[in-house]
This record gives sequence, C-alpha cells and structure tokens, in this order.
Amino acid sequence: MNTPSSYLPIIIQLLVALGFVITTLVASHLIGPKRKGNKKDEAFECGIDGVGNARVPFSIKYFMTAILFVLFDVEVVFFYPYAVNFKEMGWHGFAAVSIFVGFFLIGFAYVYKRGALEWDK
Amino acid sequence: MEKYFYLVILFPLIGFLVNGLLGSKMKGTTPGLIGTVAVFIPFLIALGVFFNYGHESQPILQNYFPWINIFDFQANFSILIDPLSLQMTLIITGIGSLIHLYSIGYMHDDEGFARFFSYLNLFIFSMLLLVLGSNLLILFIGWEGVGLCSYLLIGFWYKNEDYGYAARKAFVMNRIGDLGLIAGIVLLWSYFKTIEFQAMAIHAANVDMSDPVIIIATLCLFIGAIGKSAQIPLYTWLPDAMAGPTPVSALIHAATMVTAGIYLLVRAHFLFDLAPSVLNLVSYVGIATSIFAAIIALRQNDIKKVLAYSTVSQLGLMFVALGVGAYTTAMFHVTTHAFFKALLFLGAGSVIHALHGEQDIRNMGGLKNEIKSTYWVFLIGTLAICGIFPLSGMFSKDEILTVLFEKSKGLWALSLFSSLLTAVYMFRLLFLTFFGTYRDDEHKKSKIHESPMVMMAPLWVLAILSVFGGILNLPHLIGGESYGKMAHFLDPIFSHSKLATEHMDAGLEIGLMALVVGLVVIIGFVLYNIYVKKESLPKPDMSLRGVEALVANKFGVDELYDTVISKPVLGISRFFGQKVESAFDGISGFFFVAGFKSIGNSLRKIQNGNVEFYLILMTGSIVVLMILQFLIKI
Amino acid sequence: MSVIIVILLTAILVLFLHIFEGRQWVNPLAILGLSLSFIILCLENNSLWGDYSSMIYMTQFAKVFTGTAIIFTILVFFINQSRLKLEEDTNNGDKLGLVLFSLCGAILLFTFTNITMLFLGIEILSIPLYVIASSSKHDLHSNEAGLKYFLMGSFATSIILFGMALIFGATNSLDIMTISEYFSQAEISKMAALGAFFVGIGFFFKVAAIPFHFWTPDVYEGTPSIWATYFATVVKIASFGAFFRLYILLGNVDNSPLYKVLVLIIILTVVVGTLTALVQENAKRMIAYSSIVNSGFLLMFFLNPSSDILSYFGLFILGYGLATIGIFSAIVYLESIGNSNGFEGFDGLGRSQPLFSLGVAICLLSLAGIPLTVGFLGKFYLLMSLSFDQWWMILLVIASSIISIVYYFRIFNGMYFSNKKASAIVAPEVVSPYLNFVVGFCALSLIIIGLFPDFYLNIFQ
Repeated sequence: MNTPSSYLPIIIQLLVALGFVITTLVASHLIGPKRKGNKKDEAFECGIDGVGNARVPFSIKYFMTAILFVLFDVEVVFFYPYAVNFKEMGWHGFAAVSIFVGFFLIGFAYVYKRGALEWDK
Repeated sequence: MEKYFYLVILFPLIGFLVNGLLGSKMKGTTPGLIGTVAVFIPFLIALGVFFNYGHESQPILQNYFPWINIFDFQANFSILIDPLSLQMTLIITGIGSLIHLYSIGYMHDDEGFARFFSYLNLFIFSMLLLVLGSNLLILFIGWEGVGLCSYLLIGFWYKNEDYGYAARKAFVMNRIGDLGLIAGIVLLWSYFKTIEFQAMAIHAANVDMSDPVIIIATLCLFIGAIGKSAQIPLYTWLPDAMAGPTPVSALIHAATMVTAGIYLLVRAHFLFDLAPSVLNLVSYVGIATSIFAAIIALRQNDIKKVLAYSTVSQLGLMFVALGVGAYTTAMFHVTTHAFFKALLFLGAGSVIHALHGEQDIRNMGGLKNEIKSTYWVFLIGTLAICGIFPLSGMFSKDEILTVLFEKSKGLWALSLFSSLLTAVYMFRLLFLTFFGTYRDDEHKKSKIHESPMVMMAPLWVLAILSVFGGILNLPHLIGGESYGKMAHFLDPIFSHSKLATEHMDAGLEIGLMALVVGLVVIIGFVLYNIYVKKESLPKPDMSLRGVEALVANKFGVDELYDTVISKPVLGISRFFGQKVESAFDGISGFFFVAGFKSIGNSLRKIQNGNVEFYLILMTGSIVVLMILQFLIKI
Repeated sequence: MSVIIVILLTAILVLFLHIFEGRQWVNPLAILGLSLSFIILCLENNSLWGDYSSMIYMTQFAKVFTGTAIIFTILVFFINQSRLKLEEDTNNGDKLGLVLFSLCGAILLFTFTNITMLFLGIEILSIPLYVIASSSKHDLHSNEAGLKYFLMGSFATSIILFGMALIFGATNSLDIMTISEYFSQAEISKMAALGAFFVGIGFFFKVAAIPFHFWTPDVYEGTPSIWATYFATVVKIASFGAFFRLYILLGNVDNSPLYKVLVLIIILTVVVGTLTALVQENAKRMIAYSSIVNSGFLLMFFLNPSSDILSYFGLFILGYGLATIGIFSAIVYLESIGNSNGFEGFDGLGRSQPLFSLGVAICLLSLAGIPLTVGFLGKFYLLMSLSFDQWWMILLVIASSIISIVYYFRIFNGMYFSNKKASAIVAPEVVSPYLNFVVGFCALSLIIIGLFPDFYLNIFQ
C-alpha cells in the first residue's frame, strides 16, 4: 500500500497543475495584446501618486516592546493549564509555578533595570 | 655509567630551555658556553659507555615511561643502546660539540646569538632521540624534530625573505618523506603488532623473502630516507638550505641530520634484507643522485653550494653501499664523511668569515698566503674527500668501491666515475679559492683576517680526525690483525643479516686502490694546470675562444680534457643545473604550491558572501546527497 | 544537573552584577562560577543524573566533554579579561551571560537522552550565539556575521527538526534508547531512514562540513575575535559531542542511512578545506578553514566507532581546541595593538614577544601534527583507528597534513623569519598577563598531554 507507486496519482496531478499554469501563462503572454507607456506602467494608474519608500526604518523601541509582550504573554498562557489542574497538583505544583514565575520576575527586573522599557531616552 | 645515559638526552634539552628562555638576558658568550657544555657532557658520557661496551655486551634497553597505548598498539618512551646507536651518538655529540665551539666564534656578532644556540641544542636533542629511540615512534619524534630545527636554522637569518621561503620549502619536502615514514610505521605495526626494533628483528626472521607488505613498508621507509637524506627527487631543498649559517650547514646538512636516512636503513636492515627489489632501488637511486649531484657541483660558483652538492653526491654513494647490503661500509663512510665534510664546511665558514661574507669563489683566490691555517685544514679536507692515501676518505670510499666491485661491475664503474667527479670539483674549489691571485679589489684584501682561536681549534681537531679516521676501520691488507675495528664493533647488530661481505683477493684490492688514487692524483695535476698555472676562471659563458687559446698554448692534455670531458660535462652540468633541476623544482613546486593554489583560488570564488547563494547551494547539495544515499546503489 | 544550575545561576548573577554597578567584577565572577561548576562536575557522582524524567543522563563521555567545554570557556573569558583592561565595554555582562547560557545548551547536547532535549540544546546553544556574533554593534562586518549565522543556523535547525519529526513518526518515541533499538533492526522504514538522513545533514551544517560550511569563514571573520574563539572551540566540541552520540545510534547500523553521505562529505571537507585554506590571506579565515579540515578529520572517527574511539576522538578535539585558542589569543593581541589580522600582522612577533610567540608556535606545531604535541597524537590515533581497506582515507589524512604545513607555517614564517616592518612591530606594548596565561596554559597542556596521553585517556574509563 505504502509503495512509491501509490504516489503516482499525486505526481500526475502535480504535473497537470503545473502544466496548466505554465501553459496559460505562456499562452496569454504570446496571444494577448500589449500596449506600453509611461502612464500604463505606473503602479496606480488612477488615484493618488505614491510618495516615498515603504521600507522606512522603524524605531527599535516598537520591536523591544513587542518582543517583551510576547515573552510575558507566553507566561500568562501557562497559567491556563495550571488553573485547570490547580487542585490535583497541590503544593508541589504551586512551588513549581512559583519558581517559574520567579524566573520571569528576575527577567523582568533585569529588563526594567537595563532600561528596555523606557520610551524617552 | 649506562645508568646515567638519560643525561645524554636531557642535557641538550636543558641547554635548549636555558638558552631559549633566559638566553637573551645573558651577556657575551655565556649562551654559547652553555650550549657547548650541554653537548660536550653527553659526549663524555657516551664515550664512557662506549669504553665499557665490549664485544660480548648485550644491547641495553632503557624504558622511561609508557607513552602511547591504543588498541593493541604500545609504544614506550625508551632508548636502545647498541653499537649502532652508540656510534651515531658519538658522532653527533662529538662533532656537535666541536661545531658548537666553532659557532661561538662564528656567530659572535649576531643579534640572535642565544637563539642560535638554543636551536642547535634542540637539534642535538632531536637527533639523539632519533638515533637512540628503541622503537620507530621515538625515532619519528626525533625525525620530525630535526626537520623542524633545520627549518628554524635555515631561516635563521630572516634579513632575506628568500631564506624564509627556502626554510619552508625544506620543511615541506622533509614532510613528504616524514609522512612516508609514518605510513611505513603504521604498516609495520599492522604486520608485526610491534614497532620495537628488537622485537621486529626477531619476528622478521620468520618472514618470507619479498613479502608484499614488507616491500611496501620498506618502500615507505625509503621514501622517508629520501626526504631526509636529500636523494632524487626530493633533494633540491638541501642546496637551498645553505641559506642558513655555515655551522648549521656543517652540523645538520653535512654531518648528522642528512645521514638519518642512512641510519634508518641500517637500523631496519632486517626488513630491507627481506626485500631485495627495494634494495636494488636504493642503489639505483643512490648512484643516480651521486652522479647527478656531482655533475651539478662542477658548475657551482658558491663555495657552500659546491659543498652542498658534494654532500648530496656522497650520500648517494652511501645509499649505493646500502643497496648492496654493505651496511658497515656505509656506516664507515657516514663517519669519515662526517669528519671531513664538517671540516670542509667549517673551513668554508672560516673563509667566508675572513672575507666578511663573500661566498663566490670567482671573487676569491690566493687566500693560501692570507689565511694559512684555514688553507691547511681545507687542503686536508679536500684530500680526504678525494680519497688520497692515507687519509680517512680513501679508506671508506675504497671500501665502498671494493664491495661494489664484487657485487656489480656496473655500479662499481659508475661509483668510480662519481668519485672521480668528486676530485674534479673539489680540486677546482680548492685551487680557485686558495691558489692564484686575489681577484677582488685591494681594499677588501687588506681586511682579510684569520679566524680566531675558538674557530680554528675545532678545525684542527676535525683535520686530525679526517687524517686518521681511517684507522677506525682499516682494511685487512693494511691493518693486519687490527683490521675492521668498526665492522667488528657493529657486527653484533647484523647477526641476523643474511648478506655478509667476504674478503677478496689482496692483489685485486691493491690494484683497485691504486687505480682510484692514481686517477685522483692525475685529475689533481690537470686541474692544477688549468686553474693555477693557467689561471683560467669559470665564467658563466665560457667561450670556445678559451679552448682555442689553450690549443695555441700547446696544452695538449688540457685540450683533451677540455673538449672531451670538460665541455660536454660542463654542458650537461649546465643542463642539469638549470633545466632538469628547475624541472624537479617545478614539479614539486607545482604540486605543492602553485597547482593547489590555483584550485584553491577557484574554490574560494564560491565563497562570495552572498547568503542566498549559500542557501541555494546547500539545498542543492542536500538533494544531490539524498539521491546518492537513497536512490543510487553502490 | 547541578553543573547546569551553577552555570545558570552564575549567568543570572553576572547579568545583575553588570547593571548594579559591579562591572569590573563581572568577568572574575563568571570565571569563578565556571571554576566552581568544574569542581562540582569532578565531584559529582554519575548516578545522580538519571533522575530528570530520563531526559538527561551524565555518562563518563559527557562528563569529560562537559569539563573540556567549561575549561575552554574559562580560557575564552581570560582572553576577554585582557580586552577589558584596554577598553570600556558597557555590554560585557550581557555578552558573558549569553555565553554562559549557550554553554548550558552545550552541556545538554552531551547529556540528552531524549531528542526534545537535543533540540532544546541546539537552540539554547545557538540563539545566544547569533547575538554574540553581532555583538560589535557599530561594526558592519559583525552585524553581517550575526545575520548570516542566524539565517543559515535556523535553516539547519529546521532541517534537524524535520528529521526528528520523521524519526518520531517512524518510531513513535522521543527516547533515544527506543529509537536506537528501532534503528538496530535489520529493516527500517524509509521514513526513519530519511529522518536520520536529515538530522545528519543538519549536524553536518553545525560542524561546518563541506558543502554546508559556507557560514564558517564569514562568521569567524566578522565576529569579534574573542567570541570567534568560542565558536571555533566550544561550539565545535558541543556539536561534535552530540553528533557522535547520535551517529552511534542512528548511523552505525547495517544498511546505514548516513554512511555513504558521511564518506562523501569527509572527502569533500578535507580536500576542499585544505585547498581553500592554502589561498587565504587572513589569519582568521585561515583558522576557519583549518577548523573545517579538522571537522573532516573528526568525522573520520565516525567510520569505525567503538568505546575506545570515544577517548581518541576526545583527545583529537582537545588538541584542536587548545591549539585554536592559543592562536586566537595571538590574533586578539595583534588586533589590540592595531595590527591587521592578515598574515603580515604576525611579522616580527617572534622578536618583539619571544615567550608569547613560543607558545603560539607550539600551538601551530600541534595543529600541523608535529610529534610530542597532542595534535600529533590525535592524528596518529586517527590513522590507527582507520582500517586498511580505508587506505585512501589514510592517504587523505597524510596528503592534507603535508599541505597544511604550508599554510600553518605562513604564520610561523611571519613570526620568526620576516624582516618586513621589523622595527614597527617591536612596539613597547606588553602582552597582557591574561593572554600570556592562556597561551602558556594551552602550550603546556598540549605538550604535557602529548607526552602523557594516558592521563587524559584514562578519564574516559
């Protein structure tokens, strides 16, 4: 059942799909009428003219905040399974989660002291 | 006395450390004295052991500590004291101390005085490990060590960039040989499951002749010997090695290190005896190198280069002797060669010292009257190497020729030719340097001065040894009851040998001896005519006019010599010296630098720093590897 | 486990010490913490390690490799100390913290018994390195190195992860004992074979085997030399430690899914690496290629794995690491006095700093495989471990060793025989005692272990 030949239909379909795409693209390129001009080649033929470059450097602060958010967000997510199993896990679980939170607090303290959260500096 | 034998190895090492670490802070000649003493004390110890070592003594194996222990492979740090290693130790430490002493004078003004002596001591240490090691691996340590020291000392005068290049070339060429050696070691271990010489010798007794593994292994060892002892095709490093200070050339590139290949073959003779085809190869390579180098030497104008090619040629002769199984004969020539070649090199050093660095013999001449003492020792050295009765060179060379005469007339004739060439280039060197008139300007002449006592004393000691060295191993004919002392001393290690040399007819022996000496004397006179009476000078483009002029002057013999021998030989010499040698150089140079570099350069272009390109290439490689691994069945 | 905990705590302490006005104590503290963890490692009993839900287990092999990695890191920190005397670094604590974190990853790689731990180890090892590579913020080369390393590193990690997923799919287990039982069957599924193949490919990248080596020269060159030392040694030993363990499990079986690839890659790595090293004009790039060639040699140990081979493998990698650290400390010194790290930077070093360059020279000799050093023994053991039907591998090692002389001795020639700029080089700069210590330590260990290798090899028993 799980022999290479059983993949044959998939390969045929792949070939057909690729062949269709290539054929239509090539055909439309060959058959279709072409008209070129300065106005024609603009990105927005009608509407407001484009201004400036889309790749403007952002302030690094946005990234810092976003990454730190993700970090602490994940921490919060871990509380859900813990909350569901709160009773069963007892003090042992509480200790484990406390250590986990403790590590994050240390990290938070470090981030804070390093000044990663200061916006105007 | 044997108990303290480890000191023999230890002293040079201590000398190296002291000079290397503290030398730069010491004043005056202190490092030189330390270095000399560090070699002289081992000489005394070795001498003591030597006198205690009777003919019946057993070889002494001294085990210091276990070193390598892998699978069932074991190598200890141990040394073997037997006649062979004892003889080599005496040569190394004896001549070594003389050359150290000489260096105190020669290197006196050099800024790297202490560094020089620390390298020299390190060399002596490595060389002693090489000859004393009881197994192939200890020998290999020494083998690599002497290569390294030779590299350090060739490049010692870093003022010239080429010297550094010459040093590296020597090292790379040596390494090719070294790796042949290590391949041989691995092979021998896999065969015998031991690399101890004594154990291997016992095992070898039960091995068939021409066993294929033994043949390959001995070939590997021989490649190692070729690299170290500068035989065709790995010889070109030795003439380049003359970039080093002259005492180095004397010690390393004449007396000791270059004979390591011969030592290796003698040490492993029980293997070579099992591989007659390899032994034949040894003698062919030896004779080819001997003649080839001798021919090149005819045209050299650098005093040290002549001696360097002469060394290559003499080493070739020793290999010829080894090739026919005459191990003691080869060792005898090693010994006498160490005496007179060290003497010649140091004498050349004394000349260079006197002329403040001049090495071209075309700019010398007439030094006989300026530096008398040097002239006399150089003369003795020349006579010894040419084989004039009764100097040491005559005995050892004659023994080689006698043995060859018995084994193979062809080899004998070629060796005879080679030793006659020796006489030609040596007399040419002697006459051009010391006879005639001084050819450089008068201003320089006034500055010529004889070397100091500290340099001349070792020269005289070596001169005495060169004169009387023959006593060590007199032929039966002359020595009577006390003949062949060295052969008898070395005999115990060859007890397993299947090839033994017998004695030949006395009349024939005298005849051969007389023939050689006679020819050498004739050559001496002919050359005296050419270079001293005629004062003809070697010019790079010796024109035919010179020959015509000689004819006009009715020097019939000269004419004959010049047209029949000299011209063709000089032409061949030029051909070899310029074309063939550069081809050898080119081949090895191409493979080892240029060729690989160009491949490397094209490979480097792939590394263009473009991450996308890298990733595409890596993905492509994964696909190719996947196809190879899973779809192609090998 | 306590080793990892001690190192982690040290890292956290280092980070905090740095922000609380104790900058000058950061480096000593890191060294102290590592020394403590080393002592704990020596005292620790192996059995203690089985308790962590059988996720990690400290074998004797892992112990030696962990110890080696810790010592290498200490040496790197000593080199770092020499830099701190010369320049103010406001981010030193961060860098040290990151290095210590990545060291924890390395230890996981020696001890894992579950392939999730393997993956965690790789990521903990690598991610701090991407930051470290670009730690010289205002140097464009350093930024480029970091980005390149990150892009290609994650490429490799994803391939490893893909392979692990396939292996999990085929064996239905993450535990390496179960997986290795599966692989020792006579017939294994295509999926498992493909999985092992991809894990192998990922590791070929991590150990910088050709053709997956492209990151190495660029990253080594761009990264500040001190941290490049760490990359070339600790990261190398970590990747190789993990790879060797995995290969014994996955590849060393009949009908191995990795054998052919391994052979091909060894040949490529040694040949191409040697030839390319020959034409480098920059010492750091030359070392990068030398490290690639050494990877090829180390991969040769995989061909005939056995319990003895483990210790020879360890010896080889120890020799390589010590020698590389020694040469890198020379590069750090040369950079600190403003020399370029081209070969001409070494010109005349032998005269201006005789003792220091003696140490560097010994390191070079060891890399070139001259006897009485560990480098020679490593190569000798490698030759002995190859069997005679692998004679062409023996030839490869021998040929590569001959050629390697040419490029290693370019540094040697520069130090001792170069006349260029002789007066300019003989600057009154003193080599920092820390650098002297590192080079001295490396050179002496190379010689002492080269003389008495049994001291080291016996630890494996």
